[in-house]
Amino acid sequence: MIHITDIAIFYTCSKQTIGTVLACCFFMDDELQKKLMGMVDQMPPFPKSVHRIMTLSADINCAPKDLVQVIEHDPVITMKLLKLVNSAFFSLAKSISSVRHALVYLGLNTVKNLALSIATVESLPRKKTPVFNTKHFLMHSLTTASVAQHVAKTFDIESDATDIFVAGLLHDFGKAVLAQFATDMFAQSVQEAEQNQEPLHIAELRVIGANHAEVGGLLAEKWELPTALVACIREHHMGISSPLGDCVFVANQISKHENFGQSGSPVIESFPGYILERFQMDMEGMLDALGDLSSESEKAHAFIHM
Amino acid sequence: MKVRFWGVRGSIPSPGKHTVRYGGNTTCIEVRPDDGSLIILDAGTGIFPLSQSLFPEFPITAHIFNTHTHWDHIQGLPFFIPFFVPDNRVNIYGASDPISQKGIREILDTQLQYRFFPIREVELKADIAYQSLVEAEVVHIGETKITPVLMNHPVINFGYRIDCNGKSMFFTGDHEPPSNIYTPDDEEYKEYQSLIEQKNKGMIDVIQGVDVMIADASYTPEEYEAKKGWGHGTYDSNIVMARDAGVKKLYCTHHEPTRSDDDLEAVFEAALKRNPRQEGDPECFLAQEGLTIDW
Repeated sequence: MIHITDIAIFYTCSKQTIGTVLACCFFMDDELQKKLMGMVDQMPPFPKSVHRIMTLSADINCAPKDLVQVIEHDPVITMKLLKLVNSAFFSLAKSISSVRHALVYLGLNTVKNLALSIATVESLPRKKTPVFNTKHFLMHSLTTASVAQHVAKTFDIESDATDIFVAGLLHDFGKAVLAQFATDMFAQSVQEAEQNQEPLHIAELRVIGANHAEVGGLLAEKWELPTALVACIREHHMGISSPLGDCVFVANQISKHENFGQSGSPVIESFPGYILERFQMDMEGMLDALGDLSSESEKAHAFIHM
Repeated sequence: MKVRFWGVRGSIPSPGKHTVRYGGNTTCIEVRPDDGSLIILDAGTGIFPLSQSLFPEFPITAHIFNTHTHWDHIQGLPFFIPFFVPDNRVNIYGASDPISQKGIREILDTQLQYRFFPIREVELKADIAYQSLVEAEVVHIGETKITPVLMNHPVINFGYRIDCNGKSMFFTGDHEPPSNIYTPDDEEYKEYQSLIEQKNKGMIDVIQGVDVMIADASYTPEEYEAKKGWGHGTYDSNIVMARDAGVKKLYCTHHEPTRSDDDLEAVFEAALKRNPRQEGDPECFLAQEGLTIDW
């Protein structure tokens, strides 16, 4: 159980300490690492999703696909659900990689009640920071997810479509964590990245001592999420190629290029060699190949404002 | 291996003149593998008459495997008489609850609260142990092996495969074959279907080749249309599953509580006509209170 005093201690740690802790997370089991993971349990889902889940689950005749749609569009609920179903508590014979996978495996009513318990968990008040707008973050995550799916389909990348969606949705989960638990330093990172016109992950590394990809990857790994998903979250700024990771990299850059929400990073990264090799085209060619992306943005927009 | 049905009714006990032949007690199955162990599948109201039959064997060691915690599978548990007699040992197995995060012990703890029952769990005389199981976690009792399989129901439900000395059986608990939540014109349909096929294959692989399968066949296909998502199968879905798994004998149970004996026989006969037996297909029967299968 994490108490408010622990959080206060965590927040008042010096920059160096948090940086060191986050950096050390990769090498050791630290008390603060446990606290960070515990605190994520109290991260609030998006209020609209909570409202939708409460409404849908109060209707015994609600269409399962409507409920699934809400769960799989909320990064916090998706992350927590995957964390729980992949935990030792269930010890399922198979690693569960998406909300739909969980549904087939555990049944609608169990997933519905898990989502309800996640939606109604006594959560911390959301930390407000002018540099982290949750709607913009959600828009970036959702469009990255759907564009990544679109890329995979267009280029026949072999991977389950929902797995790609989940990877796109959760690739920046670490930002939501940093915004909540290292609010000031995350804000400073965003500002410095903007001033220097550099990628946010570079500024985070300098200011905080670890970047959002590492933090997200660490949590995903500790929660025993599927290996490919962990790698995709952790490596999305590391220049490591994988079918899943490459789709997410491309979608991430396109989402920024098209101004679908805001990622907090002012730099649209050009396609590195391994991306050019896989898709045989640069950003411009990719945009042509994918065609009109307005429906991706409209779907995400409709979800956020439903 | 010997199997005896003590409760074959689904949802709620259904006593009365129209259910005299097949019985009105809710789910409880006694299994006696060749090594002499006493295994009880579920503790519906059928466990009360079962427990009375055990007096001559006291002190006993009973292993109760709970498929899931819905009322009709636990409501007889507080009346399992061996609990109240010293020197008996009762081991209770089943899934944990992912919502409350509590283990299988929660069933008795909840049932035996002051407001609901006059005796508390600590006052029981038998030696009671609990083991919360996870999917595919094999339990060994003597020479018998019990394997839990995650089925599909509106709560976590384990089917159990029991193997002993080359003989085998499987009980589904309550199970509805998973169905696609999308329609064929939805783009998600195909992928969801492949997840379902994967899940079905996983279940079939475990059930493969059992001598006896006892399955939740609550509905006819017509009745099922209005009861999708309730977590129960049909005669037809079970015949298909048993056929796919190379089962030798299928016993349909969890009879719909409003179905009379005559109606039960009629809908079962109709199901057999719809699914004529081919070579290699399982023989199909209705489970009946008091019926013993010995092989």
